[in-house]
Amino acid sequence: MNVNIVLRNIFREVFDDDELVISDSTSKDNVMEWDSVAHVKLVLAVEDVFNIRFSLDDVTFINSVEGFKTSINKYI
Amino acid sequence: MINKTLLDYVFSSNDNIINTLQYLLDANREYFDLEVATYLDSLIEFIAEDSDEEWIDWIYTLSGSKYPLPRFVYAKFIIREEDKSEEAIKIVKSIIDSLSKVDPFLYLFLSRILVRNGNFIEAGEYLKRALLLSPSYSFYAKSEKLLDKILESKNLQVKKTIKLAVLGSSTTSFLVPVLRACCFKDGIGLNIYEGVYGNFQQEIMDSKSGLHTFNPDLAMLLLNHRDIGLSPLEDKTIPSEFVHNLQELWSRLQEFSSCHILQLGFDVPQYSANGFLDDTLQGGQARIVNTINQLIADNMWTGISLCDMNRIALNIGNKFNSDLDWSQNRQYPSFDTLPLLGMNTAAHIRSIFGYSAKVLILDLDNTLWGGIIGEDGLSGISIDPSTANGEGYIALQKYAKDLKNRGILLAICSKNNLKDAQVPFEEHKSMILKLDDFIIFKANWKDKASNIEDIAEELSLGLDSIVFIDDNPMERSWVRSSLPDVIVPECGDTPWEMLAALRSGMYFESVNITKEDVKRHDSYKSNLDRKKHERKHKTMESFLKELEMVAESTKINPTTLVRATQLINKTNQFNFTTRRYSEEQVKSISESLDYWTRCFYLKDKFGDNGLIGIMIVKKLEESWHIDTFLMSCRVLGRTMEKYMMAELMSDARSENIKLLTGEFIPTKKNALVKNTFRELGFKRFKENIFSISLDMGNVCVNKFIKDGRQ
Repeated sequence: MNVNIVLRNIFREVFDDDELVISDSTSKDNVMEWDSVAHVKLVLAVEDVFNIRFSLDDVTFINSVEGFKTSINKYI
Repeated sequence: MINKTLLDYVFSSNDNIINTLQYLLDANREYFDLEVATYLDSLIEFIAEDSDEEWIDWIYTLSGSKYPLPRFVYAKFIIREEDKSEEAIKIVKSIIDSLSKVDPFLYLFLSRILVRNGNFIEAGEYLKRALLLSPSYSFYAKSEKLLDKILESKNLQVKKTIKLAVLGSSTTSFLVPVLRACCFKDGIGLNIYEGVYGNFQQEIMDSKSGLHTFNPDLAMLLLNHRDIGLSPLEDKTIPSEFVHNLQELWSRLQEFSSCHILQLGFDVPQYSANGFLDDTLQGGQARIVNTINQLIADNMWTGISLCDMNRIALNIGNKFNSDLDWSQNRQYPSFDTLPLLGMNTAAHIRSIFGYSAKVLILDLDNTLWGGIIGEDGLSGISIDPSTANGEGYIALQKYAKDLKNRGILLAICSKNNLKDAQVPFEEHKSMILKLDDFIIFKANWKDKASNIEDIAEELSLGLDSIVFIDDNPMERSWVRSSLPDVIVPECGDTPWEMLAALRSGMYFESVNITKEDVKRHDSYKSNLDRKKHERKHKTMESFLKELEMVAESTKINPTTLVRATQLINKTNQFNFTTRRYSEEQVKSISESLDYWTRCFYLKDKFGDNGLIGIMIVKKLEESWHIDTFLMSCRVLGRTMEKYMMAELMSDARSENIKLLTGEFIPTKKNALVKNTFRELGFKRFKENIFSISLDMGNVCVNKFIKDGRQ
């Protein structure tokens, strides 16, 4: 599965923005709406699509698209 | 079957991708999975970034396809590249119509394009359809922002907006959007106050808190077993003291806001170090939690509802209480549980504010029994307790009968010859339901929507108080599209599925059961008899005379409070102001010296109608103002309004009041009383305000109703 595409679609849905473009460097620091509530939603949606369960450490340390990709790669 | 891995493979190959894709689409014509379709679209988007004409030409050939997947890809393309949302909307709607089972996320997708296009109302309708399919939590998370946009649009109509305070000992920020969506589905708007995390007790006690300023209509108290302070083998918590503390919170809440309270019950911890002994040991955790729940049920008062969390847990199973969700986010109950908790809360809200359904309309063939009576005959239909489905039909009938005994009206709407249709009820030994359990029995060849409309009219009830169950998806969709207000659950075609749909829909919940509820069937029945009687009579006058009506009245007092509140919140037609009051509010009005209140009762030769009318009048210095004037639709056209007005006038006179004023606030449903004030002798004062002076010898005479107190 093309992780980039799937992640982009999830981000677009959670932030309700059809034109959102993301890159590896997209992170909590440069996306204003990526607050703690949005973070939980992103984590849940990613877990859902890839059918995986992140560890507590993963959830704490993921703070960018790159972080998501690194963690996803551990499980698939 | 096309899946994501296969698509990855196709797109990574250097061969002619388009040809391979076309082959896949041709070989899987009927196949449609939204996730795969969306993934395919994204792959195309990535390729098309450095695209050539060949791709665009190919996508255009998809527009002519009859099948859902190619049409979906085309629709996505024209939104993205050409901004043709209107054409895309048409395509997605046609895809939805062609599918027998629609993914809630497809409705969400359509709703998104509609919002983009400015069609907020239609977007809302499709979002409601998705919500009726009980989607998972991720649906709520992904639709939250879209719903906010829809709710902010100016044209959106809601039946009522409720001020809800969500107070809890856990994170409530994930629950709130779920509650908003679940109530939106019922046409109810929420204005929500979220308590400060973990601070609910202080907020309730402190008169300067945000909660006090907010002044809610309903306060939801979401606590869990961790709040009880359980510790294995130690009897530290005394359940009665714990519940006593809760009671203090309830009293304080109702003291300042006269709100209704929804107390969530406590969850039994899934595991305990006490093991098997947890239920039997004096200090066992399960034992303490169960005792507390029992004590809450025994010690709560009217104006408080209890929502049983353990029943919700039973439906969710192992995923109910996730330790991970709790330790990461202080989330209780788990994310997986939030949708069901939302649905339960919405059902409570419907019942508290008077929007529960009142009538269950059932089909016959393959709904109340297996087979077709007109073709298979009495011996051919299946309602046999020795087969699984036969037992299902019996269970469904029992459930309907229980609802009837609780005050829900039953009716039949079936395409059949009336004679055929009635035979099983009269002759089949296994039938639980009998003919006289039904208030109306429509077996004919008219279309079901017009039959249902007739039923609503004969009972003088709104279409939104009707639930319709039919095994045939065509009939369901016909009724749904011609009468969108009727509740038509997606109920499958086996009796067990229909039963599950009825139970899980929680359509008929009520805050409590009154005497009138239990008698409702008889009372409507005698009303229909009365209507038949009416037809035989030459004049209305002689009909009314022969009814031998006797009326009585009392103040609103503790014994009538529950029924009075119920009427105030339910009555739509004969209701001048449609003001809704919670039980607490009615109580405080009835105890106030500033108000004159009355409940009216009416009997006639066919039976006792019980409490059927309410008046609430505000006493001003020199005049009295009619705040609430309503009557149950069961006794319309019986001149009861004259009796009620005469009583008000005579009491006002005895207190030397010179002027009565009343108000007519028009709604969708109360056109019936538009001219009633004039008929009662009032004059229009201004706009919707009417008045009558009492010193000119104005009286209100009724010729047909005797005073029961004389």
